[in-house]
Formats: sequence, C-alpha cells, structure tokens
Amino acid sequence: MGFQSASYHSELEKVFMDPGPRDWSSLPKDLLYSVLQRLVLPGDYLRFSIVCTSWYSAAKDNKVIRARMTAPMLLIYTGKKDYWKLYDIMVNRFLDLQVRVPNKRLCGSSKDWLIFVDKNVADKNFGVTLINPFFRVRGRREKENSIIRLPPLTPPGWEKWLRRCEHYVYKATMSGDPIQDPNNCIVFVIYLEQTLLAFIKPGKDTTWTYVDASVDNTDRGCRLVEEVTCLEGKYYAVNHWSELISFDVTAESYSNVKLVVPAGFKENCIIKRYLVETKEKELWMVQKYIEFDDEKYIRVTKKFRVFKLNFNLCKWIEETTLGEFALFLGDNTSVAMKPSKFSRCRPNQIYFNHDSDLFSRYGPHDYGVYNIKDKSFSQPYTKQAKNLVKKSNRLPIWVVPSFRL
Amino acid sequence: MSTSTDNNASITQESGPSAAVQDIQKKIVVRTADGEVFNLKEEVAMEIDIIKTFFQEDSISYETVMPLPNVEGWEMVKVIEYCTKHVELKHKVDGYKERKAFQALFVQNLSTKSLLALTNTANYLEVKYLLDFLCQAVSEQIKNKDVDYVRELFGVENDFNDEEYEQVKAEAPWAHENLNNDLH
Repeated sequence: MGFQSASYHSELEKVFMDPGPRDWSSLPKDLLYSVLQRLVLPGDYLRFSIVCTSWYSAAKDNKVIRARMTAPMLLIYTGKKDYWKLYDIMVNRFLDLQVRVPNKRLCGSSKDWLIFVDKNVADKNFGVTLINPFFRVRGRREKENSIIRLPPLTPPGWEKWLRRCEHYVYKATMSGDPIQDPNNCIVFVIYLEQTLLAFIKPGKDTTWTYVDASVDNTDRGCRLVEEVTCLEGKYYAVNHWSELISFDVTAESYSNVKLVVPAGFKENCIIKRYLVETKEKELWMVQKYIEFDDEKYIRVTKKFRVFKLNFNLCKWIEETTLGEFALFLGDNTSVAMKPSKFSRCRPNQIYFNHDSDLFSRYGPHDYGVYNIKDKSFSQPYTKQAKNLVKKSNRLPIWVVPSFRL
Repeated sequence: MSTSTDNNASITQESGPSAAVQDIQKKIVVRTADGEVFNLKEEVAMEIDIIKTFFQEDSISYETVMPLPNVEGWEMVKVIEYCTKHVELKHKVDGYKERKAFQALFVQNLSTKSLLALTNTANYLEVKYLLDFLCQAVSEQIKNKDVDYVRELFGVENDFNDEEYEQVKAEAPWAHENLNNDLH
C-alpha cells in the first residue's frame, strides 16, 4: 500500500535527524494501547484496528478498550421517510451517516438490534420484527439478514390492539444475537395492558411461549412486568410492585416462575422500573419517579433511586453511588458501562431517554442526564441534537453497536 | 540557587572553565546514541525514571556518564525541554494556561515522524507525563483520518491478505463512514 506522495517527502524533510529505523508496526503493545485508548470514537478505533495485523491484535486483545468502545448511541428519527441518525454522546456529535429503519415505534433495542411490532395485513395479525440498523446504512448495499420477522404474537385479547398495534408490545428485549449466537438467542416481549411476559427462540420456536402470570398463589405475580434481564444464565423480571421474579426458559409451558424479592415498598408516586445487569454479576433495579402535567402535556422525571440485589437476603438494598458505572435507560435493554476517562460520558450518572408510558403519549422531551451524586439534571447534548429530537416526534432510543473483533 | 539560566536545555560540552559556575547545583551527565553529552540539573534528571533508577537504586556516583544508546541527541533536547518546564510549573499555583501554551508550541514544529520517535523515546526513558502528552498528540493525528493516511503516517504496511482484510472491514462496515469513499 505505501505509495510515496509529495507531502510524505516534505514530512521527512522536517525531521531534525533521521529518526532511525523505528518500526511502528511492531511497537510495544502498551504504547499502542496508550494511543488506542485515547481514540474515543468507535470509527477511529475500528480504523486503527485495520491498519495492519499487529495493530488489529492489539485492539482485539485489550478488553478494557473494547468494553469502552461499546458505548450506547442515541438513535433519532430524522422526520424524513425512514431515515434515522445516530448521535454519539461520547464526543457530542452526529455520526456522518443515516440508517434505514421504518418510521415506527421501537419497543426494544438490544445490542445491534432494534425491535418493533409490524402489522401483518394479509394474515391479519401482528408480528414482532428484529432489525439491524447497522446493516442498513444509507448509500451502502443493504446486508442480507438485516430484518428478521418472528412468528405472530397472538395471545388471547390481541384483536383489541389491531388499531394501536405499535403499542401492543410495551417493551421487548433480546439476549444473544440471532445471527452471531443463534443457539443462545431469545426474544422477550412485555405485552398487552397487563404487560405479561412471552418469549421465543428465533429460528427454533414456531410459536411464542407465554409465561405463567401467577406465582406462588400471590395476587401479583408475573404481571405488570417492566423489564426482563438475564444474569448468569437465569432470567429475571421486575414488576410494578418492585418484586423480582425468576423464570425458566424451556420448551415446556410451565415456566417455573418463582418470586425472588417480595414487595416491600410503599409507593405512592408514578415509578418506572428498570432492571440492569452489570458485567460483574450484579443485578440492579432503578426506579425513575415521574410526574405528569396534563395541562401542559408534559412529563417530568423527578429523581432516580438505585437498588442492588442482595442475593442472600433476597432484598433490594439502596445504593447511593454507581461507582465507575454509567447507566443508559429508556425503551432499550438497560445498559451499565464504565466510560473511558477520555470521553465526555461521565461515571455515576444516568443517561435517560424519554421512553414509553402505558397511559400517556407525551414527548419527547423528558430526557437528559441525572447526576447521582448531587441529584441534578442536565441535557448536555448539542442544540442540533435536541432540535432533531423535537422535530422527529418519535421517541429516541439507545443503541449499542457491538464490535465483533 | 544556581545562577545558570533557566533555559530549556542545558546542553554543554565537556567541562571547561565555566563549568565551575554550574557546579552549584548537582549535575548528572548522559551520553546519547550519537555521542552528544548532556549535563542535566539533578531535579530535571530525576524526572526521567530510568536515569533516576540508574543512579539511585544502584547508588552509582554522579561522576559516571550514563549511556543512552536508544536515544538521539535531538530527542534528549526535547525531553529536557519538557521536563524542565514541568519542574518549573510544579511550583506554580496556576500554571494551566502556561502549560497549555507550552505544549502547543512543543509539538508545533515536530513532524509526525519526529513525534512518533519522541513518543517511543519517552516510553523508553520512562517519563510518564511526557508519554501521556505525546500519546494524546499522536491520537490527535489519527482521529478522523482514513486508514491509508494512518498507514502512511506511521510508515506501516497493510499486511492483511485480501480475504482477511475484507472480513475484518466487514465486521463493522458502518464505521468506515465517508472517509474511505467506497460507497456502493
């Protein structure tokens, strides 16, 4: 590849002396890491990794850098046709590309994949569809397998939702990757008014499995579920009463639903709950306290509370700090990550989006960053980004690009 | 204190009559790969970890000239310049602006090749803060540049075979944005 241009020669001329036969292709790894960790943009990191084979292996081997590179980006609808833009909060700028994703309400975002509900007019039912925006960049050839349509989701009562099918699934999440890791891929949906739980293994199951709503003969059980997550091979759901429920994902209809943490809170306010697993075998529940102003048609987030699961006591213990983590909450699968010290994203903060409510359709305006330490709110995005969110009239969502290095 | 000027580099030739004036502060002597000899003020020399280790840990007398076979003369000049400034700013309460101005000037006349060589040297000499600063300066050179530019800059050959290369690029095609100009 090394062609010699005029500028290359003049660079050489500026040198005091010949710098010697220093070979940057086989640099000590720690020096490469030092430079690499200062590249916060995923694009820069990826270009670095394809320079040559030894740089590639330096990039691949450093787990810390790889973890930092998988920071969430904000997917914002442009308002035009089916084009969406990606906003990188680490450096506060838009990516210079657009992706083609239908102009529909996105009910989930897990790793590379977005999830939405599609009306199947011919068969007169609903399907849940997975779409990978990174395979659908405008101006580039669309990669095959960028859309995966799952079997129809038709539990009792589904017909009532025909006209409002976009909200039929409240939240969807996926573990594993349907293409990279199909044996471990499961899609979970929280659906209908009672927000019950169902799941399916793409490519393997032909029908959805509906999780038993009743648990241990209690009234509440596996209903009014707010989020589902997987920790160390076990599956958990948090419900409206802040109870933690575990269940099995097997082919059988009996899902072995168990109550892990019983209700213990006295809550008089409107709370949205999120379940986050850190990569350090911890399970957190985050409560977001919100208020609605029905005259002004706005929703306001008042505060957040974070709880860590004590597995032994089966209790939620309130935390006053996130430590080195930052959280990304919204309609997406909740994410905890440790930001690079060279990026704009700071630890001990919650980056929250204006996400769906069951009962109101205001927004989008209730988004920003909550600082855990001083309990303050901010909206540290550029004016351009905020304007686009307003103009788009669609709720933005966090997406986490994965790097298959 | 010593009456010698606070110049960035205290390059002197071997002892002459003026050396007596400079003896007020202890000096450490090093010799670089190209035969140049440098007299460093002790406080500046101690900023350079391999020099510090050489003299302190092994209790070697300061009369010994330390060889630095991996360092070129011009690089030593720059390292001394940076460390001297760093020591000077250590005693200042609000040296932020001055440090920034100095840093900008420091890299301004350095070609990329020199910057890379100096980074390698800072790593070898073990001057952490200089290394951090230079790595940052190198990363600024890489940011937002396409792969061919980076290869040229670093003098690195693409040693992937065609198949491997296509595979690696395909892992995240969206990341190559508009920089590579290979739109379909």
